[in-house]
Amino acid sequence: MNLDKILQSARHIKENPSSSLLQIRPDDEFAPVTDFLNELLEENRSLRHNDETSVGYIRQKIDQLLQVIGTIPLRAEELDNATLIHLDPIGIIAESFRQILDHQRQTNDQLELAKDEIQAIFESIGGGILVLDSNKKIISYNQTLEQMFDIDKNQSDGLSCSDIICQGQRPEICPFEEMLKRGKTFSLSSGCLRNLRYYNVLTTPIKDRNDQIVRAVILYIDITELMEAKEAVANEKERLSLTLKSIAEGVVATDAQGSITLMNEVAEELTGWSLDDALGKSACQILNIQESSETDSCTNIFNDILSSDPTFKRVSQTELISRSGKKRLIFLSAAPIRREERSSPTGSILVFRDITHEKNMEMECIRSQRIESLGIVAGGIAHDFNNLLTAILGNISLARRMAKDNDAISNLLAETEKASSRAKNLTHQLLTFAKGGAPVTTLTSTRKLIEESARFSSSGSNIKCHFDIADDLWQVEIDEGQIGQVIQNLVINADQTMKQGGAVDIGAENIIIDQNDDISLTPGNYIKIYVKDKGEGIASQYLDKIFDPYFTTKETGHGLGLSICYSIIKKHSGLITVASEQGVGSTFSLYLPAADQQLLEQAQQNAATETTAKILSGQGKLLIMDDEQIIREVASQMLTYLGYSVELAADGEEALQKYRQAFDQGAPFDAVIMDLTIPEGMGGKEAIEHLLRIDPEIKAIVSSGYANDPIMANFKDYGFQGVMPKPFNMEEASNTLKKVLTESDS
Amino acid sequence: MSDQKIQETIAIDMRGQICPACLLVAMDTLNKHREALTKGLEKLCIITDNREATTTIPTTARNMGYSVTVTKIDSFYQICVGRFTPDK
Repeated sequence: MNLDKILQSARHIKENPSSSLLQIRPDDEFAPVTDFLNELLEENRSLRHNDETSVGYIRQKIDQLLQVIGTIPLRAEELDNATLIHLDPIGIIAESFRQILDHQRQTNDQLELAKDEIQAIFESIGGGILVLDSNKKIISYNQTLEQMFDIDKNQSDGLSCSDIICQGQRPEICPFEEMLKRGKTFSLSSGCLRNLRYYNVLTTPIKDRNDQIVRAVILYIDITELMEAKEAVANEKERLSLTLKSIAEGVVATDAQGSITLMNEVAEELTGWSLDDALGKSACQILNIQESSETDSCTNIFNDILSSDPTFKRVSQTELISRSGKKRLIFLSAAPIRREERSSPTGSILVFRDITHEKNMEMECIRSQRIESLGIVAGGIAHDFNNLLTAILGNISLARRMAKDNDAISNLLAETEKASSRAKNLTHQLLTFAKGGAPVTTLTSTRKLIEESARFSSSGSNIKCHFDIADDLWQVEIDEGQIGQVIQNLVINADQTMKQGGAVDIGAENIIIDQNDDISLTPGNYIKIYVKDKGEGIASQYLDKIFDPYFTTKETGHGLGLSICYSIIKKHSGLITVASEQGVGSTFSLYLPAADQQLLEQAQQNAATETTAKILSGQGKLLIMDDEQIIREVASQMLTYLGYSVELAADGEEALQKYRQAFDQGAPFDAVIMDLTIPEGMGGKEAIEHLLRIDPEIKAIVSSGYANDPIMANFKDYGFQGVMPKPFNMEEASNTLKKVLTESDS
Repeated sequence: MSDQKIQETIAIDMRGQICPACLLVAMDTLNKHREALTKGLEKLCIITDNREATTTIPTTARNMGYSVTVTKIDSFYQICVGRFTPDK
């Protein structure tokens, strides 16, 4: 074997580790070389084995690391050993772990911080926090909860929420169980029986990765004060609502934009809008007010009170037009709603009062006062005039009887008497209009009175009266003469205004006036009589003046007719109103209070006896007391003519003296006629008191030109038996005397 | 991706390679570019067709504190790693 062959075999053995080592005879000259080569081959095999073991170990460790990271092992064919070593996976993974660990550290730091934050929140939050496990066992709670439910920290281990919160009293709704049922946060506001406080209880579940509830955090917020405040607000709201309901004023509240947010019942009634319909609408749409000037316009009022510098607004009188078109006079005030002084308004409050009735009353009062003062003047004039007329009429009456054989003189005297009678009627009208002129009332059914009065005035004219009088018309206590005069006046007016003639509607009905009616009358039962013409109508500027005396638009009128009507109706505690439209006609309405049942029965018992208008001669001894000489003289002559024996007195003192003298002498007067008022002397009112003391059976007649004096209407209350208004003619004087003397004798 | 700060993209196409080689390459890149990536100056976007890599790379990257998005594009996936708010 030569050396080349030995080296060739050695290379082959090196590449084939399972083959046998070199074989050579020990005595071969290359035996030492062969031994050395075998040694090298064995060492090579050993080194190779070690290398494989090391790389295997590395691969094993790499796989272990890869598994930790969460991936599959490296496959040998993926990377050969050399690439593996070059790539340095362990280095890569180690460096990656450094990043992972750094990240974990950061995360841990953040968690620590978060834990501290949670703990701070846990303790500092305004509510009590209770953490429970899924079996209601207490895990932890904060200090607030401890104080809230007075929990003994040392004895709460192992307890459940039922032990420390409910304390055996099972609540109607258990927030924990409700949360479990729903699987989500459950909120409940409830009162706690244990400490009588209110809580808002918020129960929040904590779930694990499998969405199972493992814990619950229960937050208790004490809302007792809130509930009390709510209750106080509710009470306040109720009180406010009741106040708004009770007051007579309409109240409307708006938001900052002027849209309606609230209205009370009165506001609903006055505007005609229900709250439901009005809500959210502009207040100016609901409060339709007549604008007397630009500053009073609704928009302007709102601009002022809702501006940044709002002012309180007051509109003393304006007209409100309701949804249905009804007009009312209102007093309106508006104020801004501001939370704090100087802050911008958050809304406004409008308060308004219906002053229609008030205003009507005021107008009526002014008119009444005006007419009353004119009446005083008229009454004074009429009184003096009556005295003169008494003398004139009396003398004419006497003269006519003296000249009964002379036709020419009789005729002249008859004409003079007629003219004087007209003058008497005029003074009578003046007195009726004047203050007082107290009506002599009797209970009357007005049907006949209305029909007769109207027919009397319309007879011979172009108008025809159509009646519509209720069958069950209430009775009234009236002076028939006066009310008849009112109806006559109204029908005469209708006739005069309806120049072409036509129908005048006259009606009467029962009417009940209550406090809500816009009419200046005391609430109660009334009858309403109306006279409706289709004449020219009255211009609106005159409507206010037509009841004034001596105001007339007629060429021939003296302007007393409606004044008298007004005065008569006022004295009957009634009201006269007029509605008129030019070119359409006018309607006058009279309201007269209905008589009560008691009076009605009384009246039936005292049926009045009627007097006739004949001259009734008589006999007896009469005493006439009057300060006016002409009255004394004419009365004396008239009564003497009638057959009486007459004595005269100028005042009360003289009358007393003469009466006492006659009485004491056993020849008393059969009757006394006394003037009611004696200037600067004793009048009839005082004299009768003295005379009654002398003779309680005295038959006294009161006479006066002041028909307005209450004594004339209620003479019996003062001790008189009869009344004789001046001026009187012979017929009237004889009838009154006859009646007094007959009644007294019977 | 909505983060305006990311300017540079490190793009690696690893189609044809499988896990864990893909993961090792991703981790090696994340290690080497840690500073720029954590500051949000760079992001790493790997294209792979190995499905396992879409789980292993995101998991490891998230453990390191990075945000990850995985988008399927045609026949491969794009996995982007960086500091940003991942798209929902």
